[in-house]
Amino acid sequence: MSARLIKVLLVEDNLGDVRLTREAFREAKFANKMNVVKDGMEAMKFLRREGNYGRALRPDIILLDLNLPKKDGLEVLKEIKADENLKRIPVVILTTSSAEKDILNSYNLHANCYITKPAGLDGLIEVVKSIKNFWFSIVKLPPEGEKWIISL
Amino acid sequence: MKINTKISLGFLVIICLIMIVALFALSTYRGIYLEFDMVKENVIPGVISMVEMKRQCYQITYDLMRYLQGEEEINEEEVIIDLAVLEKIGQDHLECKKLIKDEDVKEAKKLIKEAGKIKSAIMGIIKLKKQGVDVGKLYKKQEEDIYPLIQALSEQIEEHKAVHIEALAKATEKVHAEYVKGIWLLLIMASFVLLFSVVITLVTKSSIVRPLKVLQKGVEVIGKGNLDYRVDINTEDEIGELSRVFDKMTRNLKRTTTGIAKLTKEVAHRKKIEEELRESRKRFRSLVETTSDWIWEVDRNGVYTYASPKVEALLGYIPEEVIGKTPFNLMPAEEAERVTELFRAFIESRKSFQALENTNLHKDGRRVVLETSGVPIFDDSGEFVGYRGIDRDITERKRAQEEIRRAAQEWRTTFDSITDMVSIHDKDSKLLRVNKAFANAFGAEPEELIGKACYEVVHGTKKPWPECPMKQMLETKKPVVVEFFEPRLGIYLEVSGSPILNEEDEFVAFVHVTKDITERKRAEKLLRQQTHDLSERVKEINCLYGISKLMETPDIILAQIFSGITNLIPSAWQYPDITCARITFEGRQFNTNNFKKTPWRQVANITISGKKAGVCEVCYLKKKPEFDEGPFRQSERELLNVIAERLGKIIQRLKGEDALKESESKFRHFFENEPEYCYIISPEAEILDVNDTALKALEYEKKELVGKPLKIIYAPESLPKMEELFAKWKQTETFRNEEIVILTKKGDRRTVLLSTSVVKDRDGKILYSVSLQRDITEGKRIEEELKRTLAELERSNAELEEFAYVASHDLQEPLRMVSSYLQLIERRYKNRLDKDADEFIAFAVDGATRMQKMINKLLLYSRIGKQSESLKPIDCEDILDQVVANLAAAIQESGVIVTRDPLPTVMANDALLIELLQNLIGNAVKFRGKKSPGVHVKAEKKGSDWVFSVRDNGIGVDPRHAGLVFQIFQRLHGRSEYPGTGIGLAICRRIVEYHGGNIWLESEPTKGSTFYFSIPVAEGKKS
Repeated sequence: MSARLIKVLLVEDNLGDVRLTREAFREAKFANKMNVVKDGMEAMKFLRREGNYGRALRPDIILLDLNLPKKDGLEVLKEIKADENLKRIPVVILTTSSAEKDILNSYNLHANCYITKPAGLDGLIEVVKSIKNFWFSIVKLPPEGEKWIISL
Repeated sequence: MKINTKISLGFLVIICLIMIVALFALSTYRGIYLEFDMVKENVIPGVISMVEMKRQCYQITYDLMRYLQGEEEINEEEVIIDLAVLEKIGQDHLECKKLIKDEDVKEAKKLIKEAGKIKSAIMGIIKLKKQGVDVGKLYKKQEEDIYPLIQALSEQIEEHKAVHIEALAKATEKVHAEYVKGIWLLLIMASFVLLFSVVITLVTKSSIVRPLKVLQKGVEVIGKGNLDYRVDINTEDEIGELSRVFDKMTRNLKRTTTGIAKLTKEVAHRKKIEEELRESRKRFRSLVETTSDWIWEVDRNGVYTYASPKVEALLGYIPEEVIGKTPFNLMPAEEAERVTELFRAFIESRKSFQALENTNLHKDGRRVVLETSGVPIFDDSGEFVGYRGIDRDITERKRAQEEIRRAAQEWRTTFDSITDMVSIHDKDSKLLRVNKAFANAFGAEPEELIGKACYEVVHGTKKPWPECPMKQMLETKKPVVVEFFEPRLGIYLEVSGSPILNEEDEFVAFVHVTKDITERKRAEKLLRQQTHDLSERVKEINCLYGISKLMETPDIILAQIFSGITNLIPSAWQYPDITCARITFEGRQFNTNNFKKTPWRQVANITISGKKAGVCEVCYLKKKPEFDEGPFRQSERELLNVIAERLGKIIQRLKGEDALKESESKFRHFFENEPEYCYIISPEAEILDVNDTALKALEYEKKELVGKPLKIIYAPESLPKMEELFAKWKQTETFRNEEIVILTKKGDRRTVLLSTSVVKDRDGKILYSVSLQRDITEGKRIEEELKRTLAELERSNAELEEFAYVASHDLQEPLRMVSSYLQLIERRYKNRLDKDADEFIAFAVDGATRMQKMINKLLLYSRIGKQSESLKPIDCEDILDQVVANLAAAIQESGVIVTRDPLPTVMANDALLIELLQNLIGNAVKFRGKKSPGVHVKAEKKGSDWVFSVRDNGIGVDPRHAGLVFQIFQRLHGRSEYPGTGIGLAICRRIVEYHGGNIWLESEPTKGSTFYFSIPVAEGKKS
C-alpha cells in the first residue's frame, strides 16, 4: 500500500474545512490523491462514475461529513453501504457533531468509524496521522475488483 | 526293604558319585592353573624385560650419537640417564627371577654384567668428549668399543628370550594334555552316574508298580462279590502293609453280608404281619368314619394319643392338631378348671364314665358342648395306660334346653315386674298364681298365697266381694273393668279381669289386674282446682293486655295512661265487684270511682331510675277469706308489682322521648347552619334532607331535591366515580375527602370534597348516611392556573436550553475556522514574518483558543439535562481516580496532595460526576495555597443524602461572594491572576441539581475553602 498514493474522497461542503483538511494531510505528511465533492448527490455521482465523473477512480477511503446540502450525510452512507460495489470502501464519518444521536445512527448504518472534528489544528493533524496509521498501516483492506472470493 | 529306604539309599549313592566326579574335575583344574601361573609369573615378564632391554640399547646408541654430534638438546646427562634405565631393567629382571628359578638367576646376572661393561665404555667416551677430543675420533672409538658390546648384549638378550619362549610352548602343551584328560574322565564318570540312576529308578518303579497291579486285580475281584479272595502281597514294605490291611477289610465285609441275609428273612416275616395289621386298621377306620361321634384315646397323663377324623367336624381341628394335647387345651379356661378335678378322680379310680358334659372351644372360637364317655385301657400286662372313649356334640340340645329355661325365666321376671297386681284365679276364686306386686301389697310371698281364696286375701272376707268382676265374667265370658274403694286397705282400686278360655270355650282360668288408683283420684281433684286458678290468671292477663293496648295508643299522655290502668285493675282481681284501685304520681292521683282506703289493702311502688316516684294501691271494700297474704293471693300481689314496674318503664320512656325530641332539634339547628353542604341520604341513595347552605349554593329549593335520587346533583363525568364510591361505601360505610364534581341548578360546575358516614339502628341495619361536601372550586381553579404557569415555565426553560445548545453548537464552526487557520499561519509562517506579526498572531490564537474553551464549557452546561442515560450506581472512588488521572499533569506540577476518605456508591451519571469533581479539584489546584497545598475529599451520610465535601487549604473565598461563584460567567479574579472561563462552578451546580442535590460553599480567606454538594441516596429526580 505504501507504494502508491492513497485515493481519498472528501465529502464536505465547507470550503474552509476542505482547505484545513488538505493542510492537515500535508502537515501530517500523508501523501494522497484527494477528490472533494461538496454535497451528497455529487458524492454518489462520483462513486458511480456518472456524468462528469466518468473517469473517476475508486477511492481507498471516504471521509464523510454529516451536514450536507441536497443529500444528507446519513443518506449517502446508507446508499454506499447498500451498493454491492461500494459497500466495502471504508467510510469515516468526519463531522463537528458529537451528539449521541448522530453517532448511533451512523453506526446503525454501518459507518466504519465516527470521528468528531477536533477544535484545533493540532488535533486535526493528529486525527489525520491516526487515520493514516490505522487504516493504511495496521488494517488490511479487501482486494479491489473482487466481489466475493469463494473457496471450495 | 521299604521303598522309602530304597529311594533314599539310591539318592545317597548318586550324590557320592557326583562328588567323585567333582573331585576329578577339581584336580584337573588345579593342574591347568599351576601351568598358567608359571607362564604369567615367569615367562611373560622375562620376555617383556628382554624386549625392553633391547630397545633401551637402541636408545642408548641413538642418544650417544646425537650427543657426539653435539646436538643442542642432548647432553651427557641424558645419556647417563639412559644407562641408568638399562641398569634398572636388568635389576628388575633379576629380582623377578630370584623369586622363581635359580638357573635363570645366573642368566640374569650375566646380563647385568654386560650392561655394566657398556656403561663404563660409554662413560669413557663421554669423558673424552668433555675433554674436547675430536668428534671423528670419538665416532671411531664408539665404533670400536661400544658397538660390539651392545651387539653382544643383544645376542644374549635374544637367546634369553628364546629360552623363555620355549618354556611358554612347553607350558601350553602341558595344559592342553591336562585338559583333554580331564574331559575324558568327566564323560566317563557322568555316564556311570546316569546309568546308575536309571537302574535305581527302574528297580524302584517295578517294586511299586507290580504290587499295585496285584492290588488292583484284587479290588476288582472283591468288587464283583467274591469276598473270600485275598490279595496277599507279603513284602515288608508299605505296599505289603497296604495289602494286609486290605485283606482284613475284606474279611470284615464278608461277616457283614452274612448278617444282612439273616436280616432280609426277618423283614419278609414282618411284612406279612403288617399286612394283617393294615386290614384290621381299615375296618376300624370305616367304623370310625361312619359314626357321628368322635373317638379318642388318651394316655395315663391325659394326653391325646389318637383322635378320629370326626373331630374336625365337631371341633374344627384335624386329628394331628389334637394329638399331643390334653382335653383341657380344647376347653375354655374356666371349664378346664372345673373338669380337671373330675378327670383326675376318674384317672385315679380307673373307672369308666358316661355322659360327662363339657364345653370345648371350636377352632373358630365358638363354644361346643360335648358329652364325653370313656373306658380305661390296660395293656397286656394289666398296666393302666390310658382312656379310650367317644364325644358327642350336644350343643344343639343344650341350646334348646337353655332357650326353654330362659323363656320361662323371662316370663317370670315380666310377671313379677308388673307394678300392677296380677292374679290368676280359677272359677272358685282360688289363687292359682300371683305376681310379686300382688304378694307385696298383702305383705306375703307369692308362694304363700297360692291356693287361698282371692277375696280372703284382698278383702279379708269369707265371702266373695259384691263388686268383684268374677260374677260378670262368669256370665258374659268377656273382660270387665270395675272401680271401687277398698275400706280395709283404704285405697281406691280398679280391677280389670279377663277370662281365659280354651279351645272348647271352657273356662281355664281368670286373670285379674288390680290397680291402685288412689293417686289418680287425687290428681283429678287437683286438676279441678287448677282449672279454677287458671281462669283467675286469665283475668290478670287480660288486665295486663289492656294496659299494653293502652300504652300503644298513639299520642296518649301520661294522665290518660294512669286513669286507664286504674280502671283496668279491679277486673283482674278475684272479687272485681269489691275491688278498687288508686295510682299516685308526682302529686297527681288517679283512682276508680269507688275508691276507699280500707284495711284490706295492697301497695306497690313506682320507681324511676331506682328512685320511688309514685304508688299503686288496691283495696277490698269488704272482708274476704284469707289467703297467702291477707285477703290477697300471691299472684295478685305479683300482678300489682308488675303493673307498678311497667308504669315506671312507661314514664321513663316518655321522658326519653322528650329528650330525643330535644336532641333532634339541636341536630336540626346544626344541620341547617353548617357552612358545608350537608345531605341525609337513604340507603337507596335518595336524598332525605339537605341543608340550607347546599340549597343556596346549588340554587335549588328543598322540595326539588328531597326524595330525588342523589345522582341528580352530580356532573355526568363524576357518575362513574360515584358508582365506585357507592359500592365501596356499602362495604366500608364511610369515606373521606373524595373529589367529585357537582352541578348547580343552572348547570355550573363546582368541585367538592365528599365525606360520608352512616347511622345505624340497634340491629346494625343502615338507617341513613350523612354526606358532607366541601366546596373547593376556587381552590381547584388556582391549582389549574399554577399548573399552567408551571408548564409554561418549563417550556420556556426547554426553549432556552435548546437555544443555548444550538447557539454554542453553531458558534463552534466559525470559531474552529478562525482558530485552526490562525494555528496554521503560526505553524507555517513562524519566524518568517517580523516579531510584531508573531506577537499579533499569538494574541489572536490565544483569543480564539480561549473562546473555544468557553464555548465548549457552555455547550456542556447547556447539555446537562439533555442526557438520555438514566442514573446508574457509580462508585465514587473510581470517579475520583479518573479525575486525578485527568489532572495528573497539573497536580504533579503544582505539588498538591490529593487525599480522600472512603467514598460511597451513588446513583448518578458517571460523565457528569467526573466533570463535577474535576472542576472542583481543578479549582482547588488552581487556587492552592503556598505551603503544603492539599485537597481532601470525603462523604458523609446525612438523612437521605450523601454530602460530599472537597476541602482545600488555598486562598479561600470572601463569604460575601460565596453565592456569586456559582453564577455563570462570574469570576472573582482577573484573567491575568488566575485563568478560567467562569463557567466551571455553574456547571457544577447544574450537575448537582440534575442529580437532585444541592451545592454550597464554606470558606475563610487565606485559610481555605470547602465545597459541599449532596446527592440523594435513592434515585434522584431529573430536572
